[in-house]
Amino acid sequence: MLRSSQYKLLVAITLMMLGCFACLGYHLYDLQVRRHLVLCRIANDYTRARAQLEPWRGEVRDRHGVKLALSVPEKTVCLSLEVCGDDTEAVASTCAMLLRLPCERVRSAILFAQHHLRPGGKAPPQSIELKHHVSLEEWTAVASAVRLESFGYHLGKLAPKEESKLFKLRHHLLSATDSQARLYPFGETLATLLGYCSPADNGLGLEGNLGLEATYNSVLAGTFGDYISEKDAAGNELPLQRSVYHPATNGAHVQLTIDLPLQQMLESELAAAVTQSQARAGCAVIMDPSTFEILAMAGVPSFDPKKPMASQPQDLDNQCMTVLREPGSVAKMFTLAAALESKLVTLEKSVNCENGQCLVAGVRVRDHAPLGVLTVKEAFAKSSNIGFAKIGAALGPLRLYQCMTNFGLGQPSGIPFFGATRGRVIAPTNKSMTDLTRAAFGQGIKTTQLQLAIAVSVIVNEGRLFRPLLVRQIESPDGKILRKFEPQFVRQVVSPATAQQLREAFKAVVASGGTATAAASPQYSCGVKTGTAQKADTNGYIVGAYYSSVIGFMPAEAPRLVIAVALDEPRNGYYAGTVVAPWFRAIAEQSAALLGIPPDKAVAARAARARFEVRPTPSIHAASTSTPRL
Amino acid sequence: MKRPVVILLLAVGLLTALGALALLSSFGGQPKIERLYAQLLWIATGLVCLTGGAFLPWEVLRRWWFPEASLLVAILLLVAVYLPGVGVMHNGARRWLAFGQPSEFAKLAIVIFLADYAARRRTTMGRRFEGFLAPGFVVALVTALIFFEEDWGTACLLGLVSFAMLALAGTHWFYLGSTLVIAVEAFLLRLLSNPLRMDRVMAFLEPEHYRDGTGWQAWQALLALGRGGWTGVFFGEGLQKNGFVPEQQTDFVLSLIGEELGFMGTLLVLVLFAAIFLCGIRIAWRVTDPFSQFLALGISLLIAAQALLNIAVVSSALPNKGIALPFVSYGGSSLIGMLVAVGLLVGVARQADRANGTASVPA
Repeated sequence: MLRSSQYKLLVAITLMMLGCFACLGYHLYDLQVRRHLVLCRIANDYTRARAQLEPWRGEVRDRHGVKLALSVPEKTVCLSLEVCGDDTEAVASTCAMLLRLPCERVRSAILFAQHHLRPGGKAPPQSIELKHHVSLEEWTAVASAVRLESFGYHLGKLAPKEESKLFKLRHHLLSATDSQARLYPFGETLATLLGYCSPADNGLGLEGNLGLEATYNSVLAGTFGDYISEKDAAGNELPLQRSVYHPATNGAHVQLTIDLPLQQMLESELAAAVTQSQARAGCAVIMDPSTFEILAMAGVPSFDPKKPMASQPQDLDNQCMTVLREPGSVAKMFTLAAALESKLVTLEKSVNCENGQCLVAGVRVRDHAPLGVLTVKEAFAKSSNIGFAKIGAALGPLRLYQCMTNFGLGQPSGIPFFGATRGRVIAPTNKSMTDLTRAAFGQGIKTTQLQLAIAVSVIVNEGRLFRPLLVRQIESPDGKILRKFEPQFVRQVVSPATAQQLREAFKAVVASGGTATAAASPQYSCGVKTGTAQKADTNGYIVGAYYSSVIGFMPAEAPRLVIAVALDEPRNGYYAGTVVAPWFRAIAEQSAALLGIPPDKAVAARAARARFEVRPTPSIHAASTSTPRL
Repeated sequence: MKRPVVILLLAVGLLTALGALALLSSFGGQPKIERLYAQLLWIATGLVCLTGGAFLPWEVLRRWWFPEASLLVAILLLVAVYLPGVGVMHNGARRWLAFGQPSEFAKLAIVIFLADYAARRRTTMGRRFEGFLAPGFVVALVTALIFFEEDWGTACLLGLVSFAMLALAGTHWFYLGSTLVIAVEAFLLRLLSNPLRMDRVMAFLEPEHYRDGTGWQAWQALLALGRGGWTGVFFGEGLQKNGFVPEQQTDFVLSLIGEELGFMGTLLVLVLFAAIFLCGIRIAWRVTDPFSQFLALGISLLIAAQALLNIAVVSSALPNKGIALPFVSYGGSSLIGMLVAVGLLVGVARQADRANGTASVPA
């Protein structure tokens, strides 16, 4: 039996303990019930996994379905710090060897992460990214090689603990996350048209930065999916806890009107032309005038879409659509079209070219050679500035401006393209007589080479302007056609009769006495217009810097192609008729061969017909265009 | 004394079952089921020991210097922990032997020893040597041994329980008071020279600042408890168990219960421990034999104080220290030791009934 004082103490201790229980009970109530919402929100910050699911970027294809730009899977290799543990040296050297990285860099990355990401050593284990842009093949090889590594252990005699550690190192040290890389199988071919991709600003997925990749970014990119889920301390998602899940919608495929074989031929010819003439730049376009589809579009210089940052900024420009130049004598076709359309002249009407020098409306105009009295057609063929300045002066500002605008000059071409410019034609209200006179032979206006090609297509197509096409159709990832682009009539620019006369004038340029006899091919007839424009900067025209272009159609009767070739500052001669016209001929002949266009000149035609009868070549072009000839 | 024993056993059974369920839930669907089998095996062993303790012929506990002998064994085991090659290092603390923690055994041994000692010297406990210096030396030795294996939680617990037992046994308050002052000073001195412990205390004082470092465990446990609310997120649906709370199967098991079963779950645990404590006190109150009285008191204090310390640590009411929740935490030696203690408590009740001539527990 205890004494009564001891019983009192016992009661006191009991009450004290019960008091402690009560206090703890209240503390738990406070924590779990009263602070429930606050703590729950903080806890969710740690455990909630919210992630965006990256869609697969769509492909860009040529008109036959050849992939010009596509996304391929690649991996980012990560290293688990938890598995690495204290074996930093062995892990660093092994990983560096496997991933072909400098050992010192891997080691310092691991050490940095160990000391900065885990203060106190109690925070959840983390992983660090070791290497980006690892191809699937390389990752497979690395993943199987790491299973055989010894990590500095002596494989013969291992304690059970070491064995489990080695197993962990081999199987759980390296992991990889998925990402996508943009691949351009044809490299620099089409680079200035396709543009390039770079990682998006928010770090998710790819973003088109230039060219069609940028123009059709919203179509190609698709839409991001997302999910809300829970994760464990290592950051791994717990799939069973997924509460919200929206899958990503992959990007659509964009099919271009570009014909890849034609494109490759055009690029190699243009590159040869630029090299041989020592030009600064060059561009060329091939269009189908019946549908206004752009079949090929080349520009020099180009860039490597894998490393666009290695190129000069001006190399990234699309020479056909974003670079503006004065067209020079090529613009005489607009003056002639306006004059013929308004019945001011006929092709046979004579005009005095004043032996090479004269004042027209207060402007001193010179010809490249002294010319006498010529017909309008001859003036066009010999490219007389004086003749056309006179015609322009007779036309007046309004009619010339309207004609140029109707042809599409100074207006959006209708092709959505990143950085495309509309050019400049001075409006008649503030147009002095000087400007008009100069505009009549191509000075003081600015166009892109594509706009000129479109204008020639209008002339070929009986004076009708259609909306030019670069994209044929947009296809959903599962092959459904989302949108198909058909030729779309815009307006009648000139009457069919005027167009017919203009074609005659174009043909005269190639005929003897014209400026572009070098463009004439023994097999194919064609019609062209040459232009040799003196380049201007802010201080006026630059001496010795020319922009030489030849633009035309072939074959002359029932033309199938419109071809524009231009060289920027050629140094081995500068007259378009001598520098550019031979390349026009080469491109025209090869295009015809590629597309199976039969020769139309009498001598060659007979021989060729015999060849075609023996071995009929299926026409690539005809087979691929289902649209009826317009 | 049928009712206290039934309530006691019921509470212990419920807590043990809750512990096994929490262990099952803590796997989070991962196939680590061998831990559950180990725990079930220990529960079975513990129940056998409990029955053994309950039916132990009462004289054995006090004959042949049994209390002194068991204490000596406990001290030897505690010393063995310090020997290189014998003791096992884990989490910076050297407190394991190959088969378990000797401190669990030492707790029980010292309670039995003090009960026996106080019962023998009932009349002379007020004296300086017999009532204070001799038992005080033994307690100080064991506590210091445990303290220096870096098991501060158990050392504090043992000090508190011994303190209460000596006070009840009649040691003069002056001696106890002065010892308390010296012990607190020594404790603080040690604390200031140990950066790890100091960090834990700082983390306790400034949880916001240390939440991603030293305070990570306590902070995550707090979040787990807070997520629970009234009724919890439901059994098995807890999220903080996926690697956020370290040691959640052992010392921090209450945070799992609090998250999945909510305040109702933690309240149930509290109530069950309070019930165990009250049953122990009730048994101590009713028996007439002083040894049985001191033993019952010591055991109930031991269980209740350990539970209180653990719950206070998990709910961030006290700085972090490694101490298990009796019956619930995963771990063999702690569970078996506690079940043996409960068995002794039941044995005390049986012995009292036998003395009174009524049978409370069917044989």
